[in-house]
Amino acid sequence: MFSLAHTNPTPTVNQLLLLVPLLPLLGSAVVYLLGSKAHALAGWLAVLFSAASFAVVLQLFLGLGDGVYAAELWKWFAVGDFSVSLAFRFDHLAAVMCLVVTGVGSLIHLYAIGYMHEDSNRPRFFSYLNLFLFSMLLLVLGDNLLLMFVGWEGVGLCSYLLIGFWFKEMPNAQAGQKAFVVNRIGDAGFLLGMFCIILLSGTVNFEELRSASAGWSTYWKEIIAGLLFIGAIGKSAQIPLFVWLPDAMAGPTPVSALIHAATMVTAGVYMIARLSFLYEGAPMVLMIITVVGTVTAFVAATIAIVQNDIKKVLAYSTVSQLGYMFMALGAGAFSNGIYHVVTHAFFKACLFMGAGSVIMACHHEQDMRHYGGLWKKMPFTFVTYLVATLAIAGFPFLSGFFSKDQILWTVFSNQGMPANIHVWGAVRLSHVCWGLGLVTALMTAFYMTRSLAMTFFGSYRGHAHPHESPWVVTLPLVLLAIPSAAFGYLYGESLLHYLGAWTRPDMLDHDALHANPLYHSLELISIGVALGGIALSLLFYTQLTGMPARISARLPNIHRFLEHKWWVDELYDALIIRPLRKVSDVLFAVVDRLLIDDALVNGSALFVEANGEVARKMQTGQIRLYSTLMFLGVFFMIVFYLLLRLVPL
Amino acid sequence: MEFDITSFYLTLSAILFCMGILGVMIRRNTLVILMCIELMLNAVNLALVGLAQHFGTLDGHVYVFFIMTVAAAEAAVGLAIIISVFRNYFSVATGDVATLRG
Repeated sequence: MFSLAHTNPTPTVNQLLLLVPLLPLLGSAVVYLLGSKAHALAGWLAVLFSAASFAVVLQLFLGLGDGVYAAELWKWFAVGDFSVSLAFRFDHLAAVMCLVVTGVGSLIHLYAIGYMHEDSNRPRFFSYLNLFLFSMLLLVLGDNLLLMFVGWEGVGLCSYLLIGFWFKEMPNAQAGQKAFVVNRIGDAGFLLGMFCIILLSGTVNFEELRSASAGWSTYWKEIIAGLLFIGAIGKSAQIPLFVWLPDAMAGPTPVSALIHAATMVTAGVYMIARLSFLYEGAPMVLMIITVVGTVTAFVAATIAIVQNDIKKVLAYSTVSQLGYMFMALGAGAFSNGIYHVVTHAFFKACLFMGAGSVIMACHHEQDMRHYGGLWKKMPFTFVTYLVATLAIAGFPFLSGFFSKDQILWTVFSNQGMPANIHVWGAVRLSHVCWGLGLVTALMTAFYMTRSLAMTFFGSYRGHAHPHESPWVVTLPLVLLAIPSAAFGYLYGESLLHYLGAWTRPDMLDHDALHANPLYHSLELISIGVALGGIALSLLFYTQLTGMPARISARLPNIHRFLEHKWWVDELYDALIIRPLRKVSDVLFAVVDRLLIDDALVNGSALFVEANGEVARKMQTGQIRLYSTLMFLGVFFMIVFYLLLRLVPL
Repeated sequence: MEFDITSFYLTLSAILFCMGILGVMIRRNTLVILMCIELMLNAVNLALVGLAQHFGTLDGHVYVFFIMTVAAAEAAVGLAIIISVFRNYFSVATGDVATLRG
């Protein structure tokens, strides 16, 4: 079952493991340096390097068995007793993540060739994409927290670079900056948590931490887990730091698919799963994670319902699905969280790329009110989008159904968790979370079907002449739609067991849970909710098309509230940004202008100048004066010396 | 009273040194100033030799040889500078060469 026995990797395997992150890094450098010499080639080179990395991962995965591959490049640094290695570690968890990152990543690279074919900065774009893959693989493969943090910052940097890829438009540059700054708040938490860990145990290596953390008091575990969770909140766009993700949609659509849906935003989930041994001992934090995840899932879903920009719908949907993942983590079902990461990567990447395909066809129109009836014109995009929509909506026996259902069930039956506070009568907190999760599932089915119906059904309302995208775009769509549909049914259980071997602290015994008779009733409820949402949405957006407008006219306040995203941006603006601006203005006027500029910088210059005015009078240019002064000086020195000798002190 | 020749050497040395100092401070001609510096160096040489004889050691003699060598080099460089100054200012008087005054 759970074993740490190294499979004694041969040197060849070591070198293979090093290739996984180094190939995309090499690709990034090559593509960037070739630059304008290889406009047409850039995308294909990038695909080549990421696909090669995927091939290596696949090779390693097939040979992994129950063991662990480890490879050390060199000792990074050592300060006193504290030393960090530049080392990689390939275990079950890392294997699953690497497969998703490189596999889905390669498909998105391929897709980007089609999506970016008109852009004149393709080499820069593909270089950044490969650099992102490298950072993400560093994050996933690093065998210690510090190396993970390097990757963590690396993906943040690439996210910033790629959101603002079209930086000549002001909103894009601002969105990139917003993402960077908001992530920074989370990173501060991550860093503080890491400092605490170093303080307590003097190591950041995951395997050493696993044994070291056993000796920590619950108090410290809660603090460290909480601080690291702040980092996860930032990176994975949870409340209250979710505001950057919807704005990040300013980037090119392949970036939204790769970074802001499939991989980077799941880094927080991965980090918590990686440190599951630590979170296991921090029940309060687990409860907070559950609540944060639930509220995020719910809030984001309500916003998604009223958005008209297709990418915004998908962005809020991503935030919402990330909330589900955190619900699972909070319930102690770490492998369920990763399970949803995997399925979500499939269907959300597929949805984003489908949206991108539609956006391309409609000449960069993103408003769904100007779509419609595209199913005939774009059959491949339509079918794949349909499959992915059904998957995320939780249509029975598609992969989203399995992973989401598992999460709802684990949250409901959250045994042994402190989340079991009685909220009201016999109702426990976990039941409330489950209920909200179920409502969210209903809304998810509703808004996803809404986007499907507004885009592909009815008649075309725009002015472009949409046509199906080229094969580089549709091939990745098809390749992602297949696992979106079938992965959960075919491999769901085996994935859970595969991960369970590593994230042993899954506090839930899956087999026992599934034996519970309640499980199947809840499953039926979920199916009903999903089908109900889909049906309701189809009714509203294909049959009774006047209905949504009438409802929003009846409830103008709620509609406006949701349309303005719960006024969160405005709230932050009023509470944080504007007071900060005011403080900065005062600091600028007083500290910067008066104190530093005037008093310190100009003041010292004035002081030196005034003294110089006096001292320059001595510089007459007359050698006689200089020599006289020198002789007098020497004379008095000698006199002084003699006096000292004569009059001993 | 015992006759000590060393005191005469030292007195002569001091007189020569003070003459050198006065020359450097008073004279305007750079060539003369250079000569006065030579005078001061030789005054020191005299004191060193006299004291070496007094103590019966060789150190002073060795010093003197070094100082003479350095003085020769200094004179060469100094004269070269003076020639160069004259070429630029058509004068070797110290008062005329005061470009660096503040």
